[in-house]
Amino acid sequence: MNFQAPELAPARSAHDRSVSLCGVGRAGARLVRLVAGSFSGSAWTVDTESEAKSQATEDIGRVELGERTTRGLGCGGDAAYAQRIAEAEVARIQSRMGPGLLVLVAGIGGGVGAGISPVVARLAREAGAIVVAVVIEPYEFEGGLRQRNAEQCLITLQGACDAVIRVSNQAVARLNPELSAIQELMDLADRHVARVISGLLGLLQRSSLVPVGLAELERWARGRQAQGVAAFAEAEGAERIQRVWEDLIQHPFLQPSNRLTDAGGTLVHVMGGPDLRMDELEWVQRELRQRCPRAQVLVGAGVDPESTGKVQVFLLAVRDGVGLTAATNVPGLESAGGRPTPAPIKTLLFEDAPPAGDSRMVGLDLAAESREARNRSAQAARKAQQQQFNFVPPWTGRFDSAEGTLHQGENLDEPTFVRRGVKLN
Amino acid sequence: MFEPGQILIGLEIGTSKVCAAVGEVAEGGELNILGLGQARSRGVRKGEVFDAEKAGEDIRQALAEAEEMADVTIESIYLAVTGRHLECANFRGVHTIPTVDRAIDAEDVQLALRNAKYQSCPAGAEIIDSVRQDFLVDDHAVYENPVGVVGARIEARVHVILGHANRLATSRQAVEAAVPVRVEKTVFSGLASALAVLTTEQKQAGAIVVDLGGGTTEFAFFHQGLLRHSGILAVGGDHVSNDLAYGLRVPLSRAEELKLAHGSALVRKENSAAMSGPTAGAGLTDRPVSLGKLERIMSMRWEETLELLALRLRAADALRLATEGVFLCGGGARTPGIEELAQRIFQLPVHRGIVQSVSGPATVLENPEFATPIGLVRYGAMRAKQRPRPRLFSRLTSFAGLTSRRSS
Ligand SMILES: Nc1nc2c(ncn2[C@@H]2O[C@H](COP(=O)(O)OP(=O)(O)O)[C@@H](O)[C@H]2O)c(=O)[nH]1
Ligand SMILES: Nc1ncnc2c1ncn2[C@@H]1O[C@H](COP(=O)(O)OP(=O)(O)O)[C@@H](O)[C@H]1O
Ligand SMILES: [Mg+2]
Ligand SMILES: [Mg+2]
Repeated sequence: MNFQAPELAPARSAHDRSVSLCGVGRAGARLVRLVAGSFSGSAWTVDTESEAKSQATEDIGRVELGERTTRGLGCGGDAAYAQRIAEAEVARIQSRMGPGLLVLVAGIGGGVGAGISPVVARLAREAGAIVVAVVIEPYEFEGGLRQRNAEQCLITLQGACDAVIRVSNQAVARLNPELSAIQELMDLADRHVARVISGLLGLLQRSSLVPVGLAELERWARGRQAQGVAAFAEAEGAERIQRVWEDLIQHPFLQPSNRLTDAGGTLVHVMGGPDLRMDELEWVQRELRQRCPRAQVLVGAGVDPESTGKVQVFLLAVRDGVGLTAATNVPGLESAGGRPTPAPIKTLLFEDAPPAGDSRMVGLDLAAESREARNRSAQAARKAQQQQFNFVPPWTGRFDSAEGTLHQGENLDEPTFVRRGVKLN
Repeated sequence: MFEPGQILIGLEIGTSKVCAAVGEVAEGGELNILGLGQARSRGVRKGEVFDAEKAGEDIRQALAEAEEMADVTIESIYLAVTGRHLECANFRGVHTIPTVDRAIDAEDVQLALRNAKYQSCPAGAEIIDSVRQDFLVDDHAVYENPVGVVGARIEARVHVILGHANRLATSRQAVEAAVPVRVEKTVFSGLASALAVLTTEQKQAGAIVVDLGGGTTEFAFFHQGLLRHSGILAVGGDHVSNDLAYGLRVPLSRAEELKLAHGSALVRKENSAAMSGPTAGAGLTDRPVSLGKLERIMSMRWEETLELLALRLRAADALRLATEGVFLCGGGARTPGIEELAQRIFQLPVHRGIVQSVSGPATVLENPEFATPIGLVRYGAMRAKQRPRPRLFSRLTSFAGLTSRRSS
């Protein structure tokens, strides 16, 4: 048997800066509508329910699938059914695809979001795009079927995307027990999710003083099937950076706290006004290192002339790709296992950033600078890829094309002895 | 009324085989198996039809064979269903008696039961079976039948087996598109197996049936004559072969042969250095494999699978109450050492499940794989017996409280 890393389409490039946004299912579409106003790229939605048509706005494209099959009645929460509908109409989804970066948004407890988002992700990657999915996990009160849809979808998406960012409705509910009205809870969850999406889009779109963006995200994500969590917070006035940090580490999406302490990589992007100070960035970087001892830490910053007095921080924490543990066991079962040595702590801020006080720092357009930075990160990316080439997705043999059997984060289709890390000799 | 001599047909579209059983209900309620048809299953994954065309051919073959052997014409069947989409859980339904100090009547009971049912069934789901457990009146006293008791609030506890409506329809349609028969009713295959294997006394005293199939493992727990808990795990004998293929670096077909020839659920020390001899289907170039390795790979899978089952059974208190022990059926029950391993994990007596109070060819009755289709025949017989009073949730002792209705 020959296990090889998945072929990476050469067209998948970080240098094509076009970013598009796609919402799948009712929740996904709703969130895309919420953030689309402040997003300059192309935004579109995929759904099976004709009901959503009335809410569609003109500048958001819409793909409605299964019109004949479901007669606009949706998929009744059946993700496998939704998936079949999408697979029967791939051409209509494909017509929207291009290279660049696709940010996919879906609530994965239902049928459409859970069943169709992996199809969209796969088609986007085939078209040369880098795909980052923001998935909304269900509330506990939604029940077992929905939790299972979500679990299943998460694993499938992880195989289909470059990175998956998890945000959780339940986490918002847990941290706000006083909110008993479902509508209020939904609205609050929507606000949190919308800010994560905006934060991510901001990071990817706006020109940055200290560029942490697509290239870095790609370097991490590529072939690694990264899974992570993200949060966004803002503050202004005295001690703004400390206060924003407090908000972040208590953020519902980053709970329980081991999501940070166990992270394999973190990326922070700080947006501020022209008054954003170097010591504020250093402070964030120091705190982050303390909190995430194992992680590779990347800190980036951008300036928005409109935001004087404010800081906005977007934090993304990724676990190692799920495949990595399997990879170490797979290539030669007989040979030694062991985890890969963690990447050395590396702070982009100090490596790629111009020295403090450089006059160019004031300007917003750092084209030359970022080109240079990009060259450097491309080199680093090649190096990183060499390390990643022994990446192998979990092996499930005859079950490869079947729905996974998930139990507490493991896919039971994978051989038991592999999951237990048992060496046979 | 239920007529002796009535012919009933059970069909299981399993992951490994499609199997039909034709049975006749004798005077004393005994079942006589008249015919059995089988085909290797090619269109099913983890208990669910994924290739309706191939499944259709296999269904046709199995039914034709059964018809021929029993010399009957099949018009309607009971269909076994399983798969990860099934959800088996206990639900509660509350009904408040409008006027105080009134005796609870049959209608109150029906309303409480209906509320439990609505509780359990989200949009897009379909209830396959529901079994009433007991009733709480005014939060304390427990009754099997609360009619006549004075109280203000009644809470019904119901075990419900439900699945995705679309996926259930897929199974039904696979049958109805392939052959001109009507699907009388879908039945959870784990329940069917239990009905085949357990005696009335065992159901009363407390017993667990585990069906170790190709792509799925089902369980059902009976106590005091009622189905108390059930469930499925989408792991089965195919996973064992899959693990072997990977660990021994052999093709799947060879792994399956090795499993049948040398398989064991336990690691027997003496094999640690032994190598496999040639197996029946092995080609000349097939190298021998280490039996020690084979046993370790297999035992880890079986241990994990049974432990996952134990976890769920323990949560339902089944391991304490099943004093009659655990009965294993399905092809996986043939694995040497599986009973010993199960005994260790469940801490209960473990037996091979044998089809009960049924007559027919011994070769059929002794096969653990045929529990499901034979159980379907019994299910049908129980339902037919109960037909004259087709009320929702109505309960007949012999029928273990099983009734059902499509939710849509
Ligand atoms: N935050 C938020 N989550 C939602 C909303 N609507 C649905 N969800 C979540 O998204 C999941 C999928 O629901 P929905 O998008 O309506 O179903 P689909 O269209 O079949 O994918 C649900 O399980 C919920 O957890 C919403 O308005 N806000
Ligand atoms: N002697 C045996 N030892 C171990 N496993 C066996 C043996 N005989 C059959 N099996 C396994 O039992 C499974 C089939 O069981 P069966 O109950 O027929 O499945 P299904 O109902 O899912 O079609 C297969 O995985 C097969 O490999
Ligand atoms: Mg959705
Ligand atoms: Mg079976």
